[in-house]
Formats: sequence, structure tokens, C-alpha cells
Amino acid sequence: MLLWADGVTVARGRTTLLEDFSLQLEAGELVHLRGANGCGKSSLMRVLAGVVEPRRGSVVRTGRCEYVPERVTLPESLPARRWLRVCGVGGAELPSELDRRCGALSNGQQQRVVLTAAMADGSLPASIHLLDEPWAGLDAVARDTLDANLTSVVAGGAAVMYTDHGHETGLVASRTLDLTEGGLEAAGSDALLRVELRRGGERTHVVISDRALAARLSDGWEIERVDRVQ
Amino acid sequence: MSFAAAQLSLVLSSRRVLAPVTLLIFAVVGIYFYRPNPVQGSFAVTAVLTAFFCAWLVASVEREVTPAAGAILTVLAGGAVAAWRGRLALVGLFAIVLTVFCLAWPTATGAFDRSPGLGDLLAGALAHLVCAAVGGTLALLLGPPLRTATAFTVILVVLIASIAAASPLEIVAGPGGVARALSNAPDDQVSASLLAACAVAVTEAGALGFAARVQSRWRG
Repeated sequence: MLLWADGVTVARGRTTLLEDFSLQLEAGELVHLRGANGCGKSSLMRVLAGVVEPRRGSVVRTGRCEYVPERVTLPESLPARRWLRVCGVGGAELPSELDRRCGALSNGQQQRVVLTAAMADGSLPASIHLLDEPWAGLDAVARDTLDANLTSVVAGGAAVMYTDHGHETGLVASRTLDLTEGGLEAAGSDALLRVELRRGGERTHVVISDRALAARLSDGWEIERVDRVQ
Repeated sequence: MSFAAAQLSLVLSSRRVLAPVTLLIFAVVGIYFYRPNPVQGSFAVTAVLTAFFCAWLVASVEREVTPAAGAILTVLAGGAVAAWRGRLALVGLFAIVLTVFCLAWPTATGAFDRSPGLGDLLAGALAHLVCAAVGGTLALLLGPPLRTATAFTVILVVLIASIAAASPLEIVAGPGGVARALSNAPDDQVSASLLAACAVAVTEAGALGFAARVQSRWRG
């Protein structure tokens, strides 16, 4: 297991986004984290990556962790190559069009610089990649390159978790975590269940209300495992 | 690369530190240009200045490192706790550099009315270090997303209030109290009141650092 989150509460200020969230990320997993705007995807990513500590619970990472936040902006006067050195991958290949000061790069190009640094050590088997909207701002070629890189690192034994609100990737996740029903929308529910669901080859883990679970079952999903949350 | 070194590397690629460094040199050279220059009194003035300049330098770093870059560096450092230690290390580094400059310049150029003794230098070093620590941790507390102008106004108001409160509050007035205790100390001695003022200032710096840490965690 590369990442283990246990009973995590994610909050920003006085707003609690997720409560008692648990997750295990295994080597070779490609996990799609999805949910509505504001349900806590990015905040959860920040907590899992270690940018901020959870209000409650714990996160244990056993591998090297790489994190790409959403809306990447690097310091304007920073040469892109120095960013790679700062990230400890100074030897990584940087396309000539990106070898400039970050202020002279477009948002998509800055995203490519950050992804270059994040994926440079992708060959390490026990690495964790937490990518928050990594395809945002990338052109079609860069998106395909990222897809190929992610497929390669997962095949090499790394674990990848990503968000993709714009449905910009063609990757098929090995698991989907849906926060919509377990996050803010279910906050007022009396009975929440942590459920592992299966439909054909697709698997998903959700924290879900009784009513939402019934809707899922009528939609062809089958329950693999269920625990009561509260 | 450690978190502090990474932050330093990012800020050195910009011109953000030029303004505080240039103004610090101008201020220290200016202070010692005109005589008389009593050892303890002059150190007291530059000690308060280091609080302001350390705050400025820390603020420069905190504002040069974008939120995205800061988040990535935090993860590479090993998490929020390690990154926090890095931030404090950077405050410490700035405090040491400012202290060395403020002590070395007048001593090396013979700007004092008399040659400073070991006690003078020790007292001066202590005062400069703790004042810089207070300024640096205050800048951490007032970091982004607070606006730059607001942060600088608060820092200046706090330091001016600290100087104004040095007379009635004595040693508990922070950098102002340290400066007052230093200027009142006997020549070439580290007085008990200076040690007490430094202890109070260190406690204040610790409280500011703790508050900044709690605030950062609260924001999420």
C-alpha cells in the first residue's frame, strides 16, 4: 500500500468538506476522484499530498509523492529549468520552447513544466502521483503525452489519483471515487453508508445516503461491501 | 533540496530582495556616517531595524513563491510540518545574516566611538537575533492571502507601537523593549534586563510562529 488515509476530516476555515474519509491507494492503481464543484476534491488532494494536515485522522504515504495542484502558476521571473532543479530533477529533458522564464510561458506551458518535473521520476515503482486537473490548459498532443506517461508509470507500479472535471482524458481509471454523494450533498443525511459498488468491470467507492444508494442499485450497480458511517 | 533552500532559490531568481537589501545597507551606512556612535545605543537602533528588514525579506519570499509552487515544494519537502520547519529555518537564516552585517559593518569600519568589547558584541548579537526573529515570524503570520500593503502597514504599526511602548512596558515591549534594555545596559556587558527582554521577545516570536502555523492549518 502506497497511501493510507484513515478517518480524515477535510476542512477549509469553518467549512467541513469531508468527514471520516478513508482511502487506501495500492501500487498500480489509477484512481479517478470526481465530484461536483466545491465538494472537496482539491482540498482532499491537498490533504492526501501533505500540503495541509487533516483536521482529524491521519494520512500515511510510504512512497515518494508528487503533487500537481490545479491552476498552476509559477513565479514569473523563475527560469523553467531552475524549477526542475528545485524539484530535484535538473537532468530532466525540457523542450526548447519551455526553456524560458515562467512569466514568458502560457498557462498550458507552465502546466507542462510542472508535469515534466512531476513525471520525471515516474519510473520509480513506489511513487504516488496526485494530479489535480492535470489536463487543464494542455493541447491535444500534451494531453496524449500525459495519458501515455500516466499509463506507463501505473504499469511500472506507481499509484496515480487524478481529478478531471473537464473530461479531458481518455484514460480508463481502475477505480473511481465519487465525492458528490459523500461530500457536501450528503452532509445533512441521517444515514450515511460507505459502499463499494461494482457494475461490470467498473468499481467505485462512495460515501452515500440510503436514498442515493437505492438510485444506484436501480441503475445496475451491485454492492460489494458496505459499512455504516454514522 | 530542502524547503528553505528551494524557497531561497526561487526568490533569488527574482529582484524582490534587492529593495530590502539595498535599503538595509543604506540605513546602516547612514546611521554610522554621523557621530557620535555609542556602541550599545547604535546597536539598539539597528536591532529594531533588523526586525523590520527581516519581516520584509520573509515577506518577499512568501510572496514570490506562488501558492502552486509552495504546495509542490511542501509535498517535496515531506509535508506541511517539514515545510513549516523550512520557513522557520529561513527566518533564522535571515536573522543571522542581518545580525552579522549589522555587527560586522560598524566594527570593521571603526565607526564606533570606542572599540566594542566581547560583551558589547554578544549583547548586540542577542538583541539583533531576537528582534529579527520577531519581525520574521510576524511576516509569516501576515503572509498571503493577506494583501502586501495591509501586511506592511501592520508590521510597521506593530514595530512603531513596540518602540512607543518601550518606556512604559519596559522588557515586555518586544523589539522596542529589547532596544531599550540594550541602550540602557552598562558598557561591554550583557545585562539581566537585556536577557529578560530577549527572553520575552523570543516567547513573542514563538507565539507569532505558532499563530501563523495554526492559521495556515485552519485555512486548509
